[in-house]
Amino acid sequence: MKKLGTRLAVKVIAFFLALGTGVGGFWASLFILSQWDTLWTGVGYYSSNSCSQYMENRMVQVEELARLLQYQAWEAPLSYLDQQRLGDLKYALDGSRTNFCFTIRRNDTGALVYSNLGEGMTVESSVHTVLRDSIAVTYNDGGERRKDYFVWNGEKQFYLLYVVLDDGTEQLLTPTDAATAAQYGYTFNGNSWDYNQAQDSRLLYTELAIEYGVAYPLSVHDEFWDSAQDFSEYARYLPSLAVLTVVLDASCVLVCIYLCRVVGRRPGQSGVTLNRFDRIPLDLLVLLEIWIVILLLTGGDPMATALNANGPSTDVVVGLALTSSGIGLCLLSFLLTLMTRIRSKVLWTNTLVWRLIQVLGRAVRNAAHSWPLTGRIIVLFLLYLLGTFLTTLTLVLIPVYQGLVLWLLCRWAIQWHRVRQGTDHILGGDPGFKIDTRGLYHDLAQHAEQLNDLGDTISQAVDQRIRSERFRAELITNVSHDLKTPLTSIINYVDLLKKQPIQNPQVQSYIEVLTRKSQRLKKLTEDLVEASKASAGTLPVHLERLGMVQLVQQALGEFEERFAQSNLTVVTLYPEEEVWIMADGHHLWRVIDNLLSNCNKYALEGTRVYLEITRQDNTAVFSVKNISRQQLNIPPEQLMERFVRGDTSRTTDGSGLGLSIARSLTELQHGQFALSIDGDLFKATVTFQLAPPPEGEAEPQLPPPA
Amino acid sequence: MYTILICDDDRDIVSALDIYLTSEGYRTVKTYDGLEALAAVDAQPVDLILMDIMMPGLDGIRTTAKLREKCNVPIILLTAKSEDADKVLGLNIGADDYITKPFNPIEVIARVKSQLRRYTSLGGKSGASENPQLLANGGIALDDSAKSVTVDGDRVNLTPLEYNILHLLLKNPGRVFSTSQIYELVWNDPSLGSENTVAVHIRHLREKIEIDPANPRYIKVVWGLGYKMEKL
Repeated sequence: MKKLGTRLAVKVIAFFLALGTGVGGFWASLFILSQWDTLWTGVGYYSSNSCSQYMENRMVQVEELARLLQYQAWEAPLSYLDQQRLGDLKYALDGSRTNFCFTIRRNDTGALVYSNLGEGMTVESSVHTVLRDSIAVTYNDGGERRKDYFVWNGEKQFYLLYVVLDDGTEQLLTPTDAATAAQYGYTFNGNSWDYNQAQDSRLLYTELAIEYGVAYPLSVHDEFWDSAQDFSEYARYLPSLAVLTVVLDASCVLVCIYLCRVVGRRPGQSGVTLNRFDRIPLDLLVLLEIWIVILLLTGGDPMATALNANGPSTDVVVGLALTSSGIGLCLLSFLLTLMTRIRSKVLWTNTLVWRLIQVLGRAVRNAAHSWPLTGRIIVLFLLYLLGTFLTTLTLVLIPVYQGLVLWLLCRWAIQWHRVRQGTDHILGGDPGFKIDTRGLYHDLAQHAEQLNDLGDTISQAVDQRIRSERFRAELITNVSHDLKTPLTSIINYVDLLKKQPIQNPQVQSYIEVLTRKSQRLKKLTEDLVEASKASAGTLPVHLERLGMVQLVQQALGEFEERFAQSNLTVVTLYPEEEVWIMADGHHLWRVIDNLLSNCNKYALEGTRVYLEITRQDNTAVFSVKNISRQQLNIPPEQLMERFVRGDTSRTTDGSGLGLSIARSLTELQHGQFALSIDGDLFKATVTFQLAPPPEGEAEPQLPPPA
Repeated sequence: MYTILICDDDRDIVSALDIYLTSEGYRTVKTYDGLEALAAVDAQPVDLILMDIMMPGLDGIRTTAKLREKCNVPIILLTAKSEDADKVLGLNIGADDYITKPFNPIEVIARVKSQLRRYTSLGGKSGASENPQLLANGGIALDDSAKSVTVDGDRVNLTPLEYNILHLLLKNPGRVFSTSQIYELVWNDPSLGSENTVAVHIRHLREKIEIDPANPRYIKVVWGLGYKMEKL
């Protein structure tokens, strides 16, 4: 059924069925409605609408006849046309030509003026229902009465009456002239005058009573006879015609409902398909159809008039059928395309007005985006003020409008919050986070997209850095392991060799060289690993408050004997108070250890080594000065580079890494490391920011040991 | 005779250690990875384990963890890694000591001896506290009445100043003394900037009681603040 229902042929048949039943139902309904009384009042012909309509027409003639007859009775001069008219009326209303019966009597005396009944007949005896009416007839040959007028007397607070008499003279009347005024039909009512034309002596006036009705039974072939015939005929056929009308109308509605359901659907396709007709913009279509319908109605109007005047003829019936079919076609097609559009949700979008609004809106938005932000805000604020002004005038719209503005502001705030949260995500260690830019205001969306791009860049950089750092750390660990493992064997087996009973002094000296060089290799490996870790910055640093004097004293304790062996004298210059700095004790020890071993290795024997700690402004400066054994002909910057040594012969057991390690470690602790060379004077300084001394400096009293 | 299990993926190191330990009179069991070591521990009673950290398959850290599930035999880790984090990890997982490569054979023997003595004769107990004159920490024992000091049972000869410094530090384990405090308390003189002598004396003391003076276990240098006796 569903398949059948969407097939094109079925739809076309249904369409024409709807059109035919619609047009037929329209005309049938029109006819039934025009015969409403006939069908539904259920009374006889004499009470029907058509009968009373014909009676009204006849009464118009009777009243005119009565007036003319009264003029004749007053012997007023009748014009030629009035006399002809009187004859025509008498002829038309003659009892032998119409079923309409009437008598005209004077209302005051009851004297018969005129009747169209035969001798001895009364209205009561000859008609179905007697109806009665009265008419007033006046006659004034001068016609001056209409010229009477009132004048307001402000002093006495009433109107003065000026009566114009037949000869054209005016007479002033006051309330005291009541008798005179009464002659002319006036009575004083306190401050003004009432007029009764029956009392006016200047006029001819009388009232006539008319009794009338339609003869029962009908005896003459006139309009009453014909309409009675029609009435009885319609009364016979109308019920079946009414049923037909209902059937036609109902089937039209049903077919239309069916068409509305299947319109736009095609067999084998889901959803609604628009045809060419449905693609015409709706407003254009509406105008077009209104224009066509107006044309058709204009064409149908004279045909309908002709039908009313002359009764049905082939030309008129065909013409009206075509016209009404055309209108039906327009309406039905409009209904169906409307349904299709609603179904596929293009009702508003497929209109010229909508497209125009879209184009304008886009243009305005594009223009607005290129404005500076402040300009946009000013324009928006002015628009807001305008809206406030307009809505304040209406009072009712104030909460609606302000609520709308508040809603928009809240929406902006929520979106801003979303962007903020996204930024927090990106900054808080999730640089790959993406802010959802759907539905954001234009500026925020742009900002969010830029943030997303930034996050991408950051996450790439972070990834790369993590990868390279991990690679470096792994390299250091692996190299150190791969170097140290064979070195361990070398050192151990050289030691085992040493323990063998070997008499050859040559071999013993060879083993001595092996021992020394393997120890040197061990030191080099350790320095190398330390240097790369220090410069990579991967070493953990725990800064704490340290006493620099204390540390240098401890270091000297470690070096005392070595300096003594090298015949070096240490001269120390400390301030009396401890110098507190923030540093990592272990790393700083390595720095000072390197500097002191440097002295031990390279200072000229028998000279003095100066160790000095001073406060300079906010810094603590530790300096080491010694006289170099070798001539230092390289710049100090180079000395701090890896594998550079002051002695080009490289005979001493240094790795050339000591100063480089010292500098890296110092910088890791946020200190500064500097070297200077003045002739043979070598000077190294390590500078740190001063830290506040610890609170509660008082040293706890301990009992001296026994 | 103690049985020592050696475990290292480098066969030369294993045999070198074997030579040293055998010459010291220990019986050795040689293994070359963690799984072998676990099997060897199950197969025979072992008194001490010397084990490398970086080994293919089951590494030293995980092997230590597995061993600690079933026995409390002393474990000394050999490591090429010198990061403090690795050492801390090894000790936390249940190792008793560590030696960094490249190591000195004398140091290895000393540490093995120290661990064995504590494991067997002292039974892990730190010195008896009944005698108030007797101070002990780890392998160090100081008898104030006899004015004698022993390290892992061996008597150590100290000068009076060294003895007083050790006494002061042993009485307050974990506390940091600056050089001037030590000077004032031991020399009983106000410190007048000649604290270099304290540092020198402490270095001498370290050389006498520590196995590796550059890497002390008992008397730790707190750089920039002073010295302290590590609580063991």
